Amino acid sequence: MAAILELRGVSKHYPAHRAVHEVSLEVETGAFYSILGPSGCGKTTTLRLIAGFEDPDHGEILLDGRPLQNIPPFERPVNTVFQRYALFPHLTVQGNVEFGLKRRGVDHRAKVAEALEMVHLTGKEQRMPAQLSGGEQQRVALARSLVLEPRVLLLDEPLSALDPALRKSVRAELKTLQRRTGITFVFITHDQEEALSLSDRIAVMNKGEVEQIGSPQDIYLRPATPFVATFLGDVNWIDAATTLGVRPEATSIGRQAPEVAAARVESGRVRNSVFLGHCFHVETETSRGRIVAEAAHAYTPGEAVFVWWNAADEMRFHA
Amino acid sequence: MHRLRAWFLAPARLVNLVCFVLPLCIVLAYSLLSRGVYGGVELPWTFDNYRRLFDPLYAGIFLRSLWIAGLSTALCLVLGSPLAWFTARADRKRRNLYLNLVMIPFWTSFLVRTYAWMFLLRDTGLINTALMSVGLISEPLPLLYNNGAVMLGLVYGYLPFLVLPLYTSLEKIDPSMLEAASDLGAKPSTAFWTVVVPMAKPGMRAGSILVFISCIGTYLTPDLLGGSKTIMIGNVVQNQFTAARDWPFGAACSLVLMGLVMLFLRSDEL
Repeated sequence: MAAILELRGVSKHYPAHRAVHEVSLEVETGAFYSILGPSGCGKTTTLRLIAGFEDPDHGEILLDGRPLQNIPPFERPVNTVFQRYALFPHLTVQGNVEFGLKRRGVDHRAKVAEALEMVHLTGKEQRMPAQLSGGEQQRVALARSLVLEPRVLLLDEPLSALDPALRKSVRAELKTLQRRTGITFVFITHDQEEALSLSDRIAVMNKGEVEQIGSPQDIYLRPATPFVATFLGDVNWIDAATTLGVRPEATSIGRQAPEVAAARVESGRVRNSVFLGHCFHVETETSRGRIVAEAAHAYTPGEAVFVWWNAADEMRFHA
Repeated sequence: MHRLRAWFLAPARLVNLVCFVLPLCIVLAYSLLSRGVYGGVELPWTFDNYRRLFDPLYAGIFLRSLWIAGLSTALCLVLGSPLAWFTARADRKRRNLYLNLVMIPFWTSFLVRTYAWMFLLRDTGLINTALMSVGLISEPLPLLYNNGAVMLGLVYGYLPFLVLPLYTSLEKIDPSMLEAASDLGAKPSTAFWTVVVPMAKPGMRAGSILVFISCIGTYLTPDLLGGSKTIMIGNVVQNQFTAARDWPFGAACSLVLMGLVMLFLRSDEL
């Protein structure tokens, strides 16, 4: 499939810091593309560059192969769902959703109804944003953008303002919406679980630069850098120089040494066990340092144990 | 709980009673009495004072007051809105500086500032002298003692009353509102009319009310800058209580003025 959106060596530097540095990425048509990274990594600036709220210092942003340079936000066929939704407080739900259509001079009644139905807000047309719950406001923000059928929908941490209980259900809805509409989503998040569960592709950013681009499995199982490995999950570092690591869920633990052939084995003592609901994480002290293993039951602190893992599960990095 | 509330409200109630309700009753009583020979009021009770207000002379003054106050308020809106917007959008440090600049005129008495305008505007004032000395005009321009001078004085004096509440409204508009509008396809000018103006309405309303009410009741500005030609209700009221020694009519005028202001406030709520 062709790339709908392409960033080529895009940089945005501020006097105090490099917000975005030499970022290049390609988003395929119809993809759910996530930009993942800790706060301050430049992901929001990247989104603002695509939306047109900021201009890059270097590099090019292409939409459908055409450079977006000098095209103001109001002429870009790209829409944004803002982190705090940025709904117009003086307009009703209807008013918010038809705002963009009115600017285009499009006949909007049917489209607004359709968009509101899509986000399950039918019947709340005349409510004011302040009368809606956080989840409902978020869906208005979605409808307001989706109704314009953008080439690319940009979502700036849209789930972060929701309470955790709601987050998972909205996450599923988001994915469904994306499939139904076929619109390309560029999703900004700092939550690796969100990115892994939703995305077709993920770009991991750190300190303004892209560390790795790949499928969720790629970046989780085959992280390109120690940063990506630790950002996406827990890592047992087998050596001090962080060139060799293994994930706790790939690490087994037992009182006897394993009889599996391909296993790397270390002996050690249990420090403590942490109950996580679906399993225990048992922290052990070995000659290689601290190693955490996943176990079905708890171990007593001080117990002598063996931990082991398959060579295939090891993550290697260049020093 | 209720007793506590009563105690807390008591001082305000007392002040309100002594300083507003009682004087208002006195003014109402005066307005229904007859004029005393050397000022003051006498019996019998009468409605004549209110009837006199329909005299074209006074009706005209009421209309002129409404017109001058209305136009001054509109001018304040036109001049004050860009200023308030500019201030609200400036960065935090600058904002305080600009707000202080808006407030600086308050450091000097309104009376003194109005006199200063007289010095600028009169026939031998700074403006006319300067224009004549460079030869742009041969006769002094009639800058003082007309409606224009009064409006200038009012706009000058009450502009901050519009800027401050409007600023408060505008400052609350999150920059992301404008980005959202732009994102949804609104040009900056469209975003201004569809997002900024509606969101700034409470501030515009509050500022306009403050300016309009201050303007319609004023007597100092028309007295000094309007001379004998531009008389407003405030001047009529003042005159009746001083030179004309017609307290009942003055009382009637001020009550009608108050009625007008209340009507204006109510019409705004609708």
